[in-house]
Amino acid sequence: MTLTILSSFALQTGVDPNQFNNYLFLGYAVMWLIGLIYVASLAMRQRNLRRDLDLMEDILQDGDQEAS
Amino acid sequence: MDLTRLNRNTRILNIAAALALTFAMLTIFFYAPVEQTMGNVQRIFYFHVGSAWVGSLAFLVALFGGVMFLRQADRKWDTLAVASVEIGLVFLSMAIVSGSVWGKPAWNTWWLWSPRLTMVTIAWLAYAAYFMLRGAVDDEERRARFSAVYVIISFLTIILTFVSIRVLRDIHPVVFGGAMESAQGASEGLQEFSGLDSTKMVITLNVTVIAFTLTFAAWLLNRIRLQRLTDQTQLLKSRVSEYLQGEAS
Repeated sequence: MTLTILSSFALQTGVDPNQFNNYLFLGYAVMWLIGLIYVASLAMRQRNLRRDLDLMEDILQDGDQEAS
Repeated sequence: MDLTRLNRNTRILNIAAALALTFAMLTIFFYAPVEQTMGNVQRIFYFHVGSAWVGSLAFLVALFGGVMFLRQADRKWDTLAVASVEIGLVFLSMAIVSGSVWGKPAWNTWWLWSPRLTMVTIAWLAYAAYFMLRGAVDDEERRARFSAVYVIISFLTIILTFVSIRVLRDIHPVVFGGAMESAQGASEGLQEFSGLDSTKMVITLNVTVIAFTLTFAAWLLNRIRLQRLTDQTQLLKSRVSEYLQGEAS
């Protein structure tokens, strides 16, 4: 009984705080990746819209010039 | 207003969010103490709780946008709701994935169909379906109205996700306002980690939640601007199409 208590105590104090560090890094890597993909998607969508907007404005401007 | 350029407030908020996230990371890794039972892997908890919290806030903002649209029928509220749901989904995805990665060393499994995890999956699917609904309705006014009703009803899944671990037996720890449930869970061997053990942990969690809230605000402004840019492009596209039809005839 005493031996069991002592051995369980020894096991508890012997816990290595770094034993699951690979999960820690994996967790943070995935979270940052999700965030960065979202930021990149915002930037890409904005770039595409800007291109579309410029094209439309050019077409309408050409039309106005032809009309005048 | 030139929508293709970031305005001053958005730029300031973007920088503030980036600085706050950096500070949060430093706090998590260099200030927060090592948790006794789980060791360093418990540090996932700060981003996990922060992202879940801010995800819920985003859906609350979307609910507000939905209610306001039904009251005023103003397009800006629909824009707020759609931007907020999109960002909420990103934060909720972060919370789900980080929870799963934490679950592997804590529960020895990546996933469990416990009440909390089942409810959060339902919430994620409900909000993902919001975009399917929007894609299925062509008329702008009808789309905005249907989406407003849908986003209000969908918030029920967030409430149920929050309540699930407080009313049902669950392996998921209760961190906020659940001392009794945590103690009960621990005594039943359901939960080995009950949340915040020290003041330093509470401070770190608060710093992370503030950093995520700032990130949410920055993303929201950027996403709203993007939606306005989309609307402007659509308007110009219809003008160009009218012009080209006139040319052809």
